[in-house]
Amino acid sequence: MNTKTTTIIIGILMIVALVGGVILVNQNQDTRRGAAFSTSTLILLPNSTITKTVGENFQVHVNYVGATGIVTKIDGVQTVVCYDNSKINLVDGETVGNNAAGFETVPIIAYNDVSGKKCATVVVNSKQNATVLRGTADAITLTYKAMAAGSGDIEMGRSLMTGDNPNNALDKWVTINNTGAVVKANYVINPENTTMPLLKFRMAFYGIGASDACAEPGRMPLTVTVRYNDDTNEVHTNVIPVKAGGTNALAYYDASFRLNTAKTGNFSVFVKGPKHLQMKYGRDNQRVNYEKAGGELLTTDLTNIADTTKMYHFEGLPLLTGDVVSETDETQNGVIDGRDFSFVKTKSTDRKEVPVGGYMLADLNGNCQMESQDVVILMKSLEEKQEQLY
Amino acid sequence: MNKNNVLKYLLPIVAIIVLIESVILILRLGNERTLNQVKENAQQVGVTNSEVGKNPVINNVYTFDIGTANKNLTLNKGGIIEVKMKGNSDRAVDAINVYVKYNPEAFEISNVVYDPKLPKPTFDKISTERGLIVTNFLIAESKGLKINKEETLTVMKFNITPKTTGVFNFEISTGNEMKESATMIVENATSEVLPYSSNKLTVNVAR
Repeated sequence: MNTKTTTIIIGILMIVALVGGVILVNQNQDTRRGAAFSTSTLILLPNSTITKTVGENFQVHVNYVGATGIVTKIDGVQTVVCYDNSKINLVDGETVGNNAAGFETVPIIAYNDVSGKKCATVVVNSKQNATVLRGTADAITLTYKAMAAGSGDIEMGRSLMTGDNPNNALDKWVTINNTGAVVKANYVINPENTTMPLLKFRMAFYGIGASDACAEPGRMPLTVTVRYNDDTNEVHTNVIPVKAGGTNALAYYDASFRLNTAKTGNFSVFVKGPKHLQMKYGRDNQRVNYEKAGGELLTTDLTNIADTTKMYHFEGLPLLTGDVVSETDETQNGVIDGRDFSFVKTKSTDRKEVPVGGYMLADLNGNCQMESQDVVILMKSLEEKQEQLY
Repeated sequence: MNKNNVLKYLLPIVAIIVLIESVILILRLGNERTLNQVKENAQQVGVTNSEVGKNPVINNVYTFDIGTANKNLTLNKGGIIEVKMKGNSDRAVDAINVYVKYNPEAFEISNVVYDPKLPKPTFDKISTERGLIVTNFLIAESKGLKINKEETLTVMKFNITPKTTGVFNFEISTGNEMKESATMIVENATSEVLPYSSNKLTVNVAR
């Protein structure tokens, strides 16, 4: 081989080695640039416009979604949400971490004003084992109150996430890739139509007493369906009741909201809680299951003034509790079954406690601690429901 | 060896070494990410073993068998039906909710008894309205009820008295008609619903 050929070969090899080195270095830089071992997306839900009336509450969720094919268990989220606090405002004490996804219920929140908007920096972390963490879930639930008519956005600013890295406990950063994702939640607040009738009722949750400290109204949002005897209905979600006394055995909650229409005739009310089966109330002071079609509640008893509209009493038939998990996750599926029983029983053996005002999905009696009584309440609810069904 | 010879032989060797190292490192990075993705995906789909490569959940952890000594009955002669559940692997369960469909216009059901290994049912009822024999066992013990492989429990045994002639079925309800009536066995600790298979018993009633 002559010198010229050798030189050419050496040159080619050096160029290939150089290119390979450049590719390798660039790969490492990509990893280091995001300071991340994985990728996720952080968004606000719902991604459709939220429409509410002045005085109503609504919830917005900070939700993370793992990249396709990658499940990184998230254990920390810090985000900033900014909003016009003349139209909407965060309800004190109602911003919570998603305990079901392993986060501590009570987040760290700091407020400041930026360019005429109120901004809340919210931080949630997890103390749980990685087996409890999720790759896709809500991290934070923000509860807002509609203060004044108008429209706007809740905008999410720069955020940070950490996750469980099974390969390196010291490398926890997760890159947030929000390209194309929704980072604003739009809202429209309608003025209160004070001509519409007000529906007011008192209700109760089976197993929850007046002294139970982890059954705050903000954690017990109701879904209420008003069904008229002409088979039309209107659904009101996120109805936040107000505590109204009661006994150690049974706490009372009062709920009220304006109906969307001023119909005439009879109606019935279906009420569902966050861990509870839907219950039909067809008459005032109902104490047993209402098994007839239609209802006996009268629209003529309703007015548009809070002091004069009739208060219905449904607390004599508390909502049955125990609908906590479904086939796929910790969401309701409309039944209390062996799956719910196993979930609550497993949680009850942890004997976990949370501070006053906290929340645990399986804490069915709302006393801030997991115990056998939660299991008993579920079993009794199941028994009662089975009697109704069969 | 003069300087030119050093350059002639050493430089190519160095270049080749750098080239090989680059290729190995790039390939290693790719394999690491793929393995992590596979592990995470395996966890996501509920593989019960933590190591990739081991067997996933076994199908039909339990087998229900509805049987009777005599499938040919007459109007004045009833029979006894047994609903047995056999384990196909060693498991512990938290709940056994059984719903058996039958024709209430064809049979009167009575004297339902259960395996002595099972606890008292949380709920049991013969629902003529729904045509279902309902039995819900909820296991209070923290470790559940252990059912070993090949172990068979008589989940329920009951008397049937024919009321009319014809051909009639007894079968496990899967909840297709009403989701609350889904027969379900829930595993302890995981709270997973375990798969099962079941048969259909056909009974002939003659005069």
